[in-house]
Amino acid sequence: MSVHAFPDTRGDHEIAAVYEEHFDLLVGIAVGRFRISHADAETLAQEVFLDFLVNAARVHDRRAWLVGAIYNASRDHLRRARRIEPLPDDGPDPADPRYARVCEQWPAELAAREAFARLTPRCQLALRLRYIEGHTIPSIAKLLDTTKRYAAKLVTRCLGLAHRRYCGREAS
Amino acid sequence: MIGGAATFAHFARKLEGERIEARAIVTTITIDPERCLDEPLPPAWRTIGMVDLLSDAARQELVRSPRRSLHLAQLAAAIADALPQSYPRVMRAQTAADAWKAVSNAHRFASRHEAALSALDIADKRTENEPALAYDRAILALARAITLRELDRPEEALGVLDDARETFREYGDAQQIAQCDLV
Repeated sequence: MSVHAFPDTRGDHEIAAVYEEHFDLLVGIAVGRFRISHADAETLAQEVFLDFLVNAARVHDRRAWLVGAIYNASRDHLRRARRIEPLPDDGPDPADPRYARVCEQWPAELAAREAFARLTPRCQLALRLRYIEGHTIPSIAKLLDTTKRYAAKLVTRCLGLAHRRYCGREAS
Repeated sequence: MIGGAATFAHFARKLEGERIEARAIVTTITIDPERCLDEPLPPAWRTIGMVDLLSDAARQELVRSPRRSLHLAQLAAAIADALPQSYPRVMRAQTAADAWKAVSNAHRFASRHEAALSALDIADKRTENEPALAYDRAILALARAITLRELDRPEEALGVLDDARETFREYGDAQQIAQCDLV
């Protein structure tokens, strides 16, 4: 983590100084070289700094690292922007169908998250791999370094536990 | 709000504080990490500092006990994937990718190369929508190249390495370029 690169209380001043010294330069590169809007350029520069915070311990040349980061981030931003098609001005503007039943959906979603958070880490991993990432049981078994049979049992048991917690049939 | 020098200094201080708090906890967890996989996570553990130290501990345990390393990395990954949304998205993505890389390393050290590649696939997914994480993607590519080389798939390894080397060159990171040359 970055903060090892900025030890003790001087670290606060140092990281603030690194930010102040480079922020305008990074925004300038994104705007000047890549024709990215100023608002998007500022967002990219801030995200680059967040990643710098996490990686700072292994950064030897801060300026080179930050400049390299904004070049890469700007190129990637432009690649993504090219894939986005604007909606026609005169087209229909229906609400996102996902929000049609939002009053019932959000409380249910919050309850599901709460139930999930109360599971053990092993259960969270197994259920996330199975139902969010879409892994098969053999793949989960491989990732958790266990047998297919145990992985199947684990997913079933954890799903049952989550369901019981969601329905409030278990105290903790 | 994630802008401004003062905010960044505040963030650095917060992360350092989390790491200090996590240090003693992770030392205890390292004795028997598998037990922690089967107990509910205390809410206080859901920090980036905790994930960082668990991933570090997993790396340190690689040679001594790949199995313990795997359990530490799995715990890191479970916490990383459920970090509070109060952290900036880009930091959550980077932290989760690093934890899954630790899972991959533990599998690779135990010669479970296919599982190592699957864990890297998950790590890649965490970073794929983040323009600012090119460096982290290159780190993951380097890990993939090492795994492919060990699987005796040198051509694929070299293909993956080319992009990573180019990224490290742009970041001026001679050390990582040297790592690429060693693969």
